[in-house]
Amino acid sequence: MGIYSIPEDFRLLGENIKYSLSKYDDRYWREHDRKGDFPDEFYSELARNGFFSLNVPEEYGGVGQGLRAVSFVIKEVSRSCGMSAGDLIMATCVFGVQTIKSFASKELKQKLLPELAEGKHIVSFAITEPDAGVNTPEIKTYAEKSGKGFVINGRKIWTTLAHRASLLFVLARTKQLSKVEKKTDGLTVFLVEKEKAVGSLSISRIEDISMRPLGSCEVVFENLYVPEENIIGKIDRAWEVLPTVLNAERISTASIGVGLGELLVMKAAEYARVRKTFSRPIGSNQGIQFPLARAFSQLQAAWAVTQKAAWEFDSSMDCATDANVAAYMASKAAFFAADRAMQTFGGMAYAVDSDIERHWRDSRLLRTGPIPEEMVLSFIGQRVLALPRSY
Amino acid sequence: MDSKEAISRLLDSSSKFTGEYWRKVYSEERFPEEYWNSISSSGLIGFIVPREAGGLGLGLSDFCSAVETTARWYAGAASYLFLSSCLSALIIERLGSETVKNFLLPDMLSGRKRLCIALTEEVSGLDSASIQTIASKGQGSYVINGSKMFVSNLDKCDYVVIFAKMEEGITAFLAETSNKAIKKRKIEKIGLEFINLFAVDIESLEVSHEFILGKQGEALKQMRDIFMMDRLATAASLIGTGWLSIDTASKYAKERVSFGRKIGSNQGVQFPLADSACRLMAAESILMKACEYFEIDRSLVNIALLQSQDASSASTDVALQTLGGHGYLVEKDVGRYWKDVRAYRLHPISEEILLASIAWQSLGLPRTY
Ligand SMILES: Cc1cc2nc3c(=O)[nH]c(=O)nc-3n(C[C@H](O)[C@H](O)[C@H](O)COP(=O)(O)OP(=O)(O)OC[C@H]3O[C@@H](n4cnc5c(N)ncnc54)[C@H](O)[C@@H]3O)c2cc1C
Ligand SMILES: Cc1cc2nc3c(=O)[nH]c(=O)nc-3n(C[C@H](O)[C@H](O)[C@H](O)COP(=O)(O)OP(=O)(O)OC[C@H]3O[C@@H](n4cnc5c(N)ncnc54)[C@H](O)[C@@H]3O)c2cc1C
Repeated sequence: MGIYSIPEDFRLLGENIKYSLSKYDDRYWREHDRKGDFPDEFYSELARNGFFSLNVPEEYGGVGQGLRAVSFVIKEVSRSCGMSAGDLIMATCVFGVQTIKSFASKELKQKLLPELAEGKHIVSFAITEPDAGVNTPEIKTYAEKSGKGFVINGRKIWTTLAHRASLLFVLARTKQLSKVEKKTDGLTVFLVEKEKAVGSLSISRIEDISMRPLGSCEVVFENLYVPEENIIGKIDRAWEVLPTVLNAERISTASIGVGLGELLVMKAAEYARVRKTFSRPIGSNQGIQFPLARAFSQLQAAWAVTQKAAWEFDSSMDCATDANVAAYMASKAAFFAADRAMQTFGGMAYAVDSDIERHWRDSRLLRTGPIPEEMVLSFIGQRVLALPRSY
Repeated sequence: MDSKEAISRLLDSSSKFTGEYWRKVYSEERFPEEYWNSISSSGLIGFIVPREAGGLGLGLSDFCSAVETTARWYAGAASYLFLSSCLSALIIERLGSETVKNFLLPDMLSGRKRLCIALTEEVSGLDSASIQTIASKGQGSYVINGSKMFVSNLDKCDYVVIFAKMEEGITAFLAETSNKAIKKRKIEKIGLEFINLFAVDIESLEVSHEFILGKQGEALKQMRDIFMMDRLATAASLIGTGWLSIDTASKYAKERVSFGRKIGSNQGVQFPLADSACRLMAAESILMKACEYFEIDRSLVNIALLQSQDASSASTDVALQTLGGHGYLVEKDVGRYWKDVRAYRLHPISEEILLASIAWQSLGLPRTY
């Protein structure tokens, strides 16, 4: 089977998604967006339908699929329900399942994978800090050896879902930046199981404008104890873990972008067919329809490179270039689609009830996070074009 | 020969034709005989012609990869010669009568004979169903009258496929270009100096029944597959030319120093180059997907061509900008890529018609063409 073909069982899954999620309609998401409420019923529905077992290995009670399947589901769910829905699947299937199955100890896998498959966990991953955004190695959060574990102190921001998460991955320094040869050495990923946390963990929500049903938080660690067994990968070697997790995240957010973009193009096309001015549909004007056709084409190209990246990921090939290209192309295409939807809906786009402004706010995030455009361009500039580092 | 071998043979046979060669061809405004001889003598013109008919029987994805490869290796838009001869061989193999196939196909596959296409007319461009050239039934043959425009490479081709209207509908006829009834006039253009374009007057051209390609009245329908493949191969040629521009410009940006540092270390220079690279990679993916889906979903063909037009236009423009004033000099080549690529936002199908067809077919919006 080729890189780009969609297996028959994925196709059926796509049908199933449309069917089982149809009750989570615009109004549901609009309300949750307004109040910033977590979509509990939706999460349980996903769990009941087995979505979270998709990439759990069969020996742990899962379906044993890879990232291709996950990224397809994320795209389809985002196309039906928007960005928060897609990101939620990403959090559990990628931050949760992918990280654990690739890097956790056998004991953690045995305990957590079956639970994750059943949707018993909500997962978040805390990397960003107030003074360390794209310059990750400069994080200050520090984990100090203490008995049979580590004590963490520090401050994270923008940790999505931290207030609801039962599993919280944290990136911390285990060696000071000044003491390591390579900036990326001396960093470690820890898993905090919130229920068992000893020490202080204070979490507060940031009032924000994207993915409001999920919510993003500031997280402060004060002498939080984590046992040694909860090290993910090896001590001081987070850089063996992060590329896998972050590439999978980029492929997933690219899938969100494509799904969200398609949702918007289709919504706008439908409006353009029925809305009439000068006694004909606005969509019969090329000034309205061409940008929508262009957005649709860009989304298809972004999806093709996303599929290629996911295929490389599943084949254990180097997927970093394509994962970054996918994230970049999808975020641009999604935001362009959102902006054209705003234009197509005219004044109606400014009514919250049209739902366009919500998707527009959401889609804008993809151009900044998880990786800002500038960082992709400089990565491609250096890696693909062999240009000098620009900063 | 498998696809890997075929592509590496194509690279071998084009390896000695670098920037300098093409600069000379362009400045002399002549057909690149040496390049043509080299690729055609390596047995690659039958790339997509079935094995039973003497071709290599390779697939569409491999064909597009091959086109992109020779384009990126300095040929740029001149990869057209390779792609169009492969496709014309396929036209003869699929639609030629036994007689035509027997005498023409082997010579085409070996590169001894070439074929061009006369569809467009002064009054009929993208709307090809509106052509005015007429074929009428004569004594045991057909007689064609009319005029054509934009016939590429006519002076270097032995045969021309002429599309003409009959009672049954539009029909394709094969004629010798040396026939006295075909009067050609070169039209001056602004790029693509490796080929000439011609306007053609056709006066009482007689064509026998055996020289009809395919069924009478069904030419546009029967040629559709090949026109679609042409769009994909054109997309590959554009992507290859886009990369050629970005490769050239990146190399320059690493060497050229201004204000005491390499120009490529400025994000204002580097990011547009990287953005073009991203677009080319995405266009490559959708092109390969369109090839993979060719038998299942044709809607991807137009999308792939549109994305390749976009990516290659951006790439050639950014490359020119990166070279600064030097970009405007003939000796630096990027100006040529820029001018050549521009033609393919119009031909074989324009950006606007691609957008209109995507809006209609994929988004269900009113048809506007
Ligand atoms: C809603 C939301 C959810 C998030 N969820 C999470 C999460 O779950 N976990 C997590 O760890 N993080 C999360 N983040 C953080 C996100 O990943 C960061 O915001 C992002 O990486 C950018 O970092 P920053 O905000 O510190 O920007 P900065 O690093 O301060 O950068 C600011 C701007 O400057 C640009 N810039 C920086 N350096 C350069 C340079 N050398 N050249 C050119 N441009 C440059 C950047 O591209 C960016 O546009 C989230 C953010 C948001 C808004
Ligand atoms: C280098 C080159 C080589 C060529 N080689 C060949 C060849 O070998 N054989 C051959 O037969 N032809 C050839 N052509 C002709 C080419 O296929 C036509 O030029 C092309 O189809 C455009 O037709 P036209 O110029 O008549 O444009 P028109 O159809 O007149 O269109 C003019 C402009 O209006 C736009 N337009 C038209 N209708 C609409 C609409 N409904 N909505 C929005 N916009 C619209 C078009 O997109 C275009 O931008 C060649 C052309 C070039 C430039």
